[in-house]
Amino acid sequence: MSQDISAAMQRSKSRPSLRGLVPWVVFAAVLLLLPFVFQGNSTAFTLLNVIGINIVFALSYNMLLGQGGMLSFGHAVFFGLGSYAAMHAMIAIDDASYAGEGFWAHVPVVGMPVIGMIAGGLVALVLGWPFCRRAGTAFAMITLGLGEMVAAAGQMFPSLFGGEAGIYGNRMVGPQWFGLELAQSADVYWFMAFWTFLAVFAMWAFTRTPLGRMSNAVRDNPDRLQFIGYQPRNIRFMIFIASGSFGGLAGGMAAVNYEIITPEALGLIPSGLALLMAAVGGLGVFYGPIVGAIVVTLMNSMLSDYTDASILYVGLVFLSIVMFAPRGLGGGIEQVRVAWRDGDLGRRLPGWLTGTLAVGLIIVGMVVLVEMMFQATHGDDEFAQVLGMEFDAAALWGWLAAAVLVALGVVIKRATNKLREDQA
Amino acid sequence: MSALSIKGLTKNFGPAEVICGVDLDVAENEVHAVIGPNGAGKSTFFNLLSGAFPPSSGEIYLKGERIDGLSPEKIQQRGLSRSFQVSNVFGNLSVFENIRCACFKQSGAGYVFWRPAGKVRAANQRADEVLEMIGLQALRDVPAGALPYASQRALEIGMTIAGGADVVLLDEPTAGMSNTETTQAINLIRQVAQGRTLMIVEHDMGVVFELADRISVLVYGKIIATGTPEEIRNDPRVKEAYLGEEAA
Repeated sequence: MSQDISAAMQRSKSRPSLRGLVPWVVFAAVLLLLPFVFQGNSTAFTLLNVIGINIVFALSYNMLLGQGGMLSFGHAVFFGLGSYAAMHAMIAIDDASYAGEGFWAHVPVVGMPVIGMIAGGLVALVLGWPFCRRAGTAFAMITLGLGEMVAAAGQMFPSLFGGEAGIYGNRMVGPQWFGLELAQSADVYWFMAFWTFLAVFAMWAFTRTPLGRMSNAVRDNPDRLQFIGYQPRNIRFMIFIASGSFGGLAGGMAAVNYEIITPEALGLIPSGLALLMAAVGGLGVFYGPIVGAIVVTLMNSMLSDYTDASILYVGLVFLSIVMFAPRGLGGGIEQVRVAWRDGDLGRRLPGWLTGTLAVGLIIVGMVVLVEMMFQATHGDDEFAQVLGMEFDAAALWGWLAAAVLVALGVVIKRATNKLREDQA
Repeated sequence: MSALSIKGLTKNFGPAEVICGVDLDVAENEVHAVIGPNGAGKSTFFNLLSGAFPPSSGEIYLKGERIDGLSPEKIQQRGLSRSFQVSNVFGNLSVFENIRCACFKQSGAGYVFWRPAGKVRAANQRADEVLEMIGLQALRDVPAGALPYASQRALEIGMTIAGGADVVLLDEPTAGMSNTETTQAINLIRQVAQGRTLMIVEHDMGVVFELADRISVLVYGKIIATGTPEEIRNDPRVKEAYLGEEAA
């Protein structure tokens, strides 16, 4: 505790302002350079575009959970409805530009995320007030109900939601802005890069505003808020609207990217994805959900190429992060960064590395187990061959080896935990 | 006009009457202490004044304006603010941010999301003033949850006055403090009392007799005596009901 304090005291003496710009310059540079790295690789661009959508989606979710302390199981409602609104707008643009007149004939498809944002915000504005009375379990349950209800309604109004098949649109319509044709996924990349950067910056800026600060306050101690002149519900409601708006914005990006949207996008599975990405990346650090979105999207799409057990692996990663690194990957990065800044890295790194090694051993052991179980029941899994695993699942020694790996990991993990407690 | 005027205040929890008909006037700029044995209803009394519970009957006037039955945030906005017995801060926010959050509303930026908090000059200035007053400038960037106990108590008082309230209720501001810390706390409370009306619930009699202009003694939900420290010290009923225990 006293270390915390003296470190903070040293820090407050010097606070250069230009250094705050560095992450943004790096972020912009990465976005600008990526297309040159992946030139001609359309699979990579498709993946990058999904990552962009998921970054905005996960960050908008974290406005609720990480910043405002509200655990939602219905965030996909805003994403999905934003996406539907944008899709209907794209269809309107298509119709209007065919006729060559009317308001929609002048609206560019590049601006669809704005439509999604307005839709998401409006839905939150209309629905949110009764939800925001309490955080905690009540809020979680209500949002769960909302998500299921809206997803069911999606099936009930086929004219609006297109039934199970969903609705389609075409992004290559209407006026072109910046000469962006939006034909290939490489064109769409620039659209994604632009909106991802803008949305990330806007959500970061939001955390710095009085309302953003109050949202942290309502997370930490809603009871106290009343005695400094606030109704906690008002703050929660405003966060809810902001979060819904950015969720809708991500939906607008998705509409342009996929050119199709189905009622499934409103349901529990995409809502769970938002929670998964935010939690894997870390709720307590602003950039945590960005890391989480990248990792989870990559895992989801790349692993599924190799193994039918990919969802199981994503679950395994989620579990190990919740258990061993509750602050998420972003929290881990932040810990290392702070230790490095305070000149503390040399002392703490060995502990962290052994901890990581232990978790690594557990994961490898689990993967081997899963792959063997898979082989035993379903036959060959490609992932096992990629990993160079050619066991006979019937032989006992393979199972034993895997179990030993897991056990070894657990033992090392416990030893490092004890070591760290002794140090502290 | 009295800063705070209480008429026939009662509070029942089911069949139990915890506050039974309290009448009290607190003058402007007065430091008024409420003392009484454990379970006398002091905390409930504060909870009624600050709006945490609605009273069962009776009236409360803040500077002539009726406030009983209003929600805590409405009462706070009308200029009555309170601190808590148990430290009640925003644990993950820095010390400075805790104070600043208590300043936004008064600076007219309560719900602003189009301007960085750093640009709300009135709130930042006010937060720095309060920080200096409570003596925590050196710890401004420390998370409030990591503060030592006495500093957390000071922060608690800082948050209470930051919003510009001129009637301040302090609930056991020196509870659990060492002698040195108590002396510092008394100095801080003296500063807080400048230009404000103060009500204090306190167990430490030294603190009470040092700070209070007047004292009310609350026993079993009734005020049995109100007067200057001298009067209270010599009141036979008080001796019997309360101080008697300590004298014995």
